[in-house]
Amino acid sequence: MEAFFFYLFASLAVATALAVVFPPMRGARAPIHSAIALVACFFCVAATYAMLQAHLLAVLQVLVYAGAIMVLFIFVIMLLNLQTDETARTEVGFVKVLSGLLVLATTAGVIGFLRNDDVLLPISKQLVAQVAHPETYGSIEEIGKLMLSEYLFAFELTSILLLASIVGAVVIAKRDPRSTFMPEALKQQLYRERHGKSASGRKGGA
Amino acid sequence: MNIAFNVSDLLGILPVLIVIAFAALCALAEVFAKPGQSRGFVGTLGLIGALIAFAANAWQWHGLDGAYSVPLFGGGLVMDAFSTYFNFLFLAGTALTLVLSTKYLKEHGSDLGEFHALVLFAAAGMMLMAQSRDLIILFIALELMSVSIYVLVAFVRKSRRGAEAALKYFLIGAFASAILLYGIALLYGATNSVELTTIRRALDADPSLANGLLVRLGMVLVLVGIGFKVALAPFHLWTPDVYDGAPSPVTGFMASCVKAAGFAVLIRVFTVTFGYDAMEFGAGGNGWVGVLYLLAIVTMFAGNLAALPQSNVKRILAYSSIAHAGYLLVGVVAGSFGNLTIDTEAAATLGPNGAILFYLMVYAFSTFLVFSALSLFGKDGEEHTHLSDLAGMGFRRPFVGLALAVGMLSLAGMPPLGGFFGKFYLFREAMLSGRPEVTILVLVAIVNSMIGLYYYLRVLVFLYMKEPTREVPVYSSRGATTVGLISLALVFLLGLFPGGLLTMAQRGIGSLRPVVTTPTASLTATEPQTPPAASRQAGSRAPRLELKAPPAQLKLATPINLKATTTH
Amino acid sequence: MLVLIALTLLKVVGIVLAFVMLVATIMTWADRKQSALIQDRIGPNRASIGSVRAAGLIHILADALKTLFKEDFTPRDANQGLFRIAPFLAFVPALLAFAVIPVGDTYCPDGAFIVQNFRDVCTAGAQADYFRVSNMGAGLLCIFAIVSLGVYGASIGGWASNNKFALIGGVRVTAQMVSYEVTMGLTLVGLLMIYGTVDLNEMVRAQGTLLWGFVPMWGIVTQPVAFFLFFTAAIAETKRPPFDIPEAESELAAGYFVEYSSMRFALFTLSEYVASVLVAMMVTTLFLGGWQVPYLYGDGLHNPMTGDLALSIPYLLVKVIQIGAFCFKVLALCWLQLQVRWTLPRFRYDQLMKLGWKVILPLSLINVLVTGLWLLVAA
Repeated sequence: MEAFFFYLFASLAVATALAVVFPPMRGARAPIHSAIALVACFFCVAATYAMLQAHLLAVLQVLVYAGAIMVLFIFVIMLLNLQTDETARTEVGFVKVLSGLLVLATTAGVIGFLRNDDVLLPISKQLVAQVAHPETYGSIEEIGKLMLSEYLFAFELTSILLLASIVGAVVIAKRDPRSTFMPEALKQQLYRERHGKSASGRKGGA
Repeated sequence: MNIAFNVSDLLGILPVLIVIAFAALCALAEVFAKPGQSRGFVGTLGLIGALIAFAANAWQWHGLDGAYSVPLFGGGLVMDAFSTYFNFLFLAGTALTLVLSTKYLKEHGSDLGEFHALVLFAAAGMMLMAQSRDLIILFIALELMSVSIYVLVAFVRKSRRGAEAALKYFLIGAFASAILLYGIALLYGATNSVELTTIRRALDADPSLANGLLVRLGMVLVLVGIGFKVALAPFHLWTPDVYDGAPSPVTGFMASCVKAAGFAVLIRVFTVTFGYDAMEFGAGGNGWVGVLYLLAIVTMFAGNLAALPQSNVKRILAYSSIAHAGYLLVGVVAGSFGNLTIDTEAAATLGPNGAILFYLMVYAFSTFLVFSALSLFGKDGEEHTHLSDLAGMGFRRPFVGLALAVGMLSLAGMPPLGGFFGKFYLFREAMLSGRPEVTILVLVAIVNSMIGLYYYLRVLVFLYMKEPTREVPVYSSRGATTVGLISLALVFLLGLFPGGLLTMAQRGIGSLRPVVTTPTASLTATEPQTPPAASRQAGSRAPRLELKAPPAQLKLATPINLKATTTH
Repeated sequence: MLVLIALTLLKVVGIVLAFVMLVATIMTWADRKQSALIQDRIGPNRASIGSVRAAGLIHILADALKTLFKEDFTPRDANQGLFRIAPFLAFVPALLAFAVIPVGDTYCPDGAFIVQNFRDVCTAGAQADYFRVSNMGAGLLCIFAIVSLGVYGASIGGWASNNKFALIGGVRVTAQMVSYEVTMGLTLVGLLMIYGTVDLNEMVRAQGTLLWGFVPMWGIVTQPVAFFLFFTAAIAETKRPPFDIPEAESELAAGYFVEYSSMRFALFTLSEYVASVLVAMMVTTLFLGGWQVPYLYGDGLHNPMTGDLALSIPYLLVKVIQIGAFCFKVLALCWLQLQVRWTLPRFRYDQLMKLGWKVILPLSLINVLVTGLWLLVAA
């Protein structure tokens, strides 16, 4: 039963992942198909997490990736209103074929390696040993405790990373104070009309 | 529940905390600045932060007793002479970048306080990279650094090339981070741990594990991830575009500090954790050392040969930085052949890895010397760093020309400048390892240095022997002059009196040198003899902070005894 | 295994189909009646079977028949596949979220239990979850995960219609739902801190505790600010008035589903009503004590002053009363939403964003801070 669902979701995950890279439709609508395929892929991955007793991880995968990040992706794609030529595919060259072959070779190597019982068995034994206490394993309490004990520093450091990312995002998105964008220029013009001087220092008014 | 946290642990990362605090202050200061007001004061604030952190780091360096490491936060981080040495480098680089960029940002119409905050955030990430002994923390620290740098590259809003460079860097960088993370996941799957010491123990205990594909694949992926950051060929293709498109102070920061952080990780993860003796597999029986061997050769040639036809100074410097990564890799390869892990007697010598530390410091100051001059060329989002833009500049702006010329000569490795001694010690120590294959590698490196002379000297030719063809906007700045003077002095001083820095590098690398016990013995040593704890002892003169914290996994040559005499 | 599947199916039918869908359908009628009341009209009253008019309730049947038999029109330049699938993407997540909401307390086998620390503790065998489809531990997070998926239906539907109104509606829906998801989640942090669980049934059980001996520790008592913030954010999340800017009739015709007709149109509308029921159920569970009736525990009514049993009630009857109480609270909240819908005018887009990011978000952060301080002092 479990094996059936595992293979079902695993193969679906691979199929949808391929659909991300090779969307079924070409042209301007390809990006949104890719994004939707990616959402589906996240679901399949979440399902495999759930089967590994990692319920919290599964829920967070859906909540964060499928529910928040991909929504923004689709939002941006909708706003961009891509034209066909912008999404036109480039021709397949020698390097691409070579890298594709390399990927296939690596995959084959990994599969061949995993088929080897000597290698796989010790690992799966280890995993079974860890799932021996399914009551708490992967629960929100256990993960919370781990985050505040063993991984405390990494957990706190993540907040610094987020802070830096927010500052960075604000910088990238912020309107240049001296640009000639209309609202800003308008504001300064209005300011000058009222006060007879420039609003923003020496170089104000663009 | 075991909370792995001590207040004294915070002292171990004091410089990082100071840097983060000032980064937050800088970001806040921007909010309260009036529109149109100069953001120079934010830069000053950041500079003060970097200098205080530098002082705190010096205090740590002074307090660290000999070549021992103090684990922090349950072993995820570590404070040792190695990380402290690198922190000196990062903090000096940060301070120089901040001084250099204030005027630059004004000239290019992007005078925003967030720049300084992001530089400090990046510095915090680098420092934690050098201090981390846990792959998770390492990854987050690397991301902290990378994210800040991505934004810094695109910081000048008017520069289209900057935006393009940032996009390229971000896309490829995110991909490299994912590869690194995949490698970490595989290593965790194989050894059931993300802590480097535990991984090492697992590999020592079970040689079949070390030779398993899981570990091998994991290591290769980690190597790719870090190789991207330090621009090793063939993961270097982003470098010329990004170095060229980024604002010059940021390029300097990347070339010196990001590269150094990458090599700190490379040494700690590969040379120490995946030690040579634990890994006898792969090409020519050397495993990843064999991979690095090939990478070193490819990187040196890729950098030097590709630099030859370039006509933009920043692109030349980008390729030169790739070439320098190749030279440094020679040291990593040579250092991996044992000096680090064989015996404690070696602690008295510099070793190839120690030479890397020395080289990185010299390289950083040479880079800053060049960029202090190069950042002056340009205005309003457009940098004029074509070779022809430099024509005749040696006479029209003598000091700018001098800084560029000396910097280039130091990068080329001309005596008596610091760059020469960096190369000299690196190659000498590599030769001393006494293995024929390393000798070949060193010969390749020397040949490459010869090739490199061409494009470095070409810059000098344009500076002093060509007539200017067009008018190029070159501003002057006290900040750039200061950075130039400091770097110039240091490049000369390190060339004439390298002894002090060599001692420091030796001490830094010495703290990494553990005596690896046999597998059985290492397993018995797992239970901690004394729990990591700090106890304050009332001394006769001043309060003495004594940290007794043996890393349980490593048997050290002498008992750990960190004596930090508090200065207050 | 088969018993488990049959039981789950029974629960799905009982909770989702029998209760949720029923309430949602009745709401379509109540909505119109409510508006008629407020606007001094009679409202729907024409549809009839024979001479039975049932105060216009027959309109529900008539509407269902009408939508089923109308032409299912797809615009020529629409993205066919996505256009067809979008209504289901909107409807399915709305129904899925009910899986983790406890309609009643867990059932003790053989009715063997003791009341301990304000809750029923089973003494014979494990407690059985008969009144909740899934007993997944991370229930609250699960709801959020599912609710966050609801946005796809609307935004993809708007994009696939190949209509400018629809696209603007889709873009607005995305921005609105993403913004309010954040605030919705943050308002509940204080609640999680107080009850210390994300399991919804555990949370309801914890709300049976008596504060100072007589006040039931319902969420609305411990977190009054969060109640208002959450309720507001949740209404916004349903895209119902006064937050219906994605489908604002006066400016966008019908917004993201302007091109839809027939049953697909009905699915979009119905999913909004289902979302309203979900909001009512969530607020009931989180803030109004869920199935709790004050002072009523497994063995009967207790005297709040002394804690003694005041009125003994059979266990099964207690269960029925508790489920009844849950339904009553849900219906009351549904009515409250209708009242809000017809009382307040629609927000403008910038007002909506301002309310979300600059009022509710900071307030909920302050709420978290105050709750933390309070817990610190109380401990």
